Amino acid sequence: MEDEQIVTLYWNRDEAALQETETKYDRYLTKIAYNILADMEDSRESVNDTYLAAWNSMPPQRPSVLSTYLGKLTRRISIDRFRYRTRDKRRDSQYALSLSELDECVSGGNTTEEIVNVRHLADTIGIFLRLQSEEARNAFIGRYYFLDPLKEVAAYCGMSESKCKSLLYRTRVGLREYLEKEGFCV
Amino acid sequence: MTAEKLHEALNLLPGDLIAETDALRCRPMKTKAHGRRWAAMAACLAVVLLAGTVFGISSLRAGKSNFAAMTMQAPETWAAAEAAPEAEDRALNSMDAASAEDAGCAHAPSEEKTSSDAAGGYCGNTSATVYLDGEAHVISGTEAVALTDILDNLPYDPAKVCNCVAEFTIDTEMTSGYEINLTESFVRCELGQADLTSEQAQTIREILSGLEMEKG
Repeated sequence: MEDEQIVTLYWNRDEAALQETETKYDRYLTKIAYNILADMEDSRESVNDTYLAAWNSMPPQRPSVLSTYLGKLTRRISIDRFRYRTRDKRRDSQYALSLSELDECVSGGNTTEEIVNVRHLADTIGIFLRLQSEEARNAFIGRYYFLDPLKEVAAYCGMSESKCKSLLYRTRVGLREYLEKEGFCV
Repeated sequence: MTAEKLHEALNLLPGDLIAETDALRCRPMKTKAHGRRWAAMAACLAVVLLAGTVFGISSLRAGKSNFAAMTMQAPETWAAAEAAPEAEDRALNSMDAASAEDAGCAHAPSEEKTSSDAAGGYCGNTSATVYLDGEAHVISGTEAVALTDILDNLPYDPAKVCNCVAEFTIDTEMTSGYEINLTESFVRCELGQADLTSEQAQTIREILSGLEMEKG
């Protein structure tokens, strides 16, 4: 079923929308959740919470690309769930690994002066990514948005792992410089 | 700002950027980069062998006709015949230079002086694995020490990473996945890329020639 038809079901409050969403996107969303939580049970719960969030948000939302919309919901829900976990359960997560990588871009400080406008930050990162090569952009989004392991990112970007790692490193350095230039306190 | 704040912002990225990468992720995987690398090397080797055969045959024919001419003509012809191979060498060198430039990447051996720190903290038990022509060769002893000493101590720079194909790879005990191209004199690993000095490249060549002799 096309995304537009599924969204129409949500708007008509037809519960078939949930069934169709599960059929089409369950595996896709579970992978995003698993990359963050590294636990199948928790991932399943996050995906179920995603379906509930989707049901509660459409209407008024009418996304044109359902995969992106649902993926963002899953990502947010899974990261929130991750934050409440114990240290032991955080260890194997790609999200935890990515935090240590992205630490290079920021100071890690969280003083009261540093009230970050997340929307503005997102817009700036978006502009930065559009200035990068397609290769760098896809590798960065694959690694830090989808949280895919480095090996997978290298494979679908068509490069070796070592090259991908170097490319991500240079992109992180470039992002830090760009954020500083745009006035963010990194 | 924290890394978690960055992640929050990433969740608000424009949908078209995410969709572009998602399309790549969901595409059926083509041949692995590793397989493509070996295929490219095999293709280059075939071209080199073909070119060598063609030049070899033409040199042989030129040699035969020159021999006949030498026995019958003036000494000036002998000088011209001697100059022909040198001209061929110059032509080949200019072709190599042109092909390197055509690849969009110019490499040159590093001019940094290499220190002869043979100890380097390694002991005689050091081993390294060379992946050459689809086979793994484990080396140990002084050769492994020399290789490890070179590869682990190069000044890798992430800004220097290029798309040139590696000729073979080496794993040391410290690091795996060193990608090496002796023709272009560089080594690439997860830390970046570094140029080899002529001395270092020659050392690696000698170690590899030892492997070829063992194989023969």
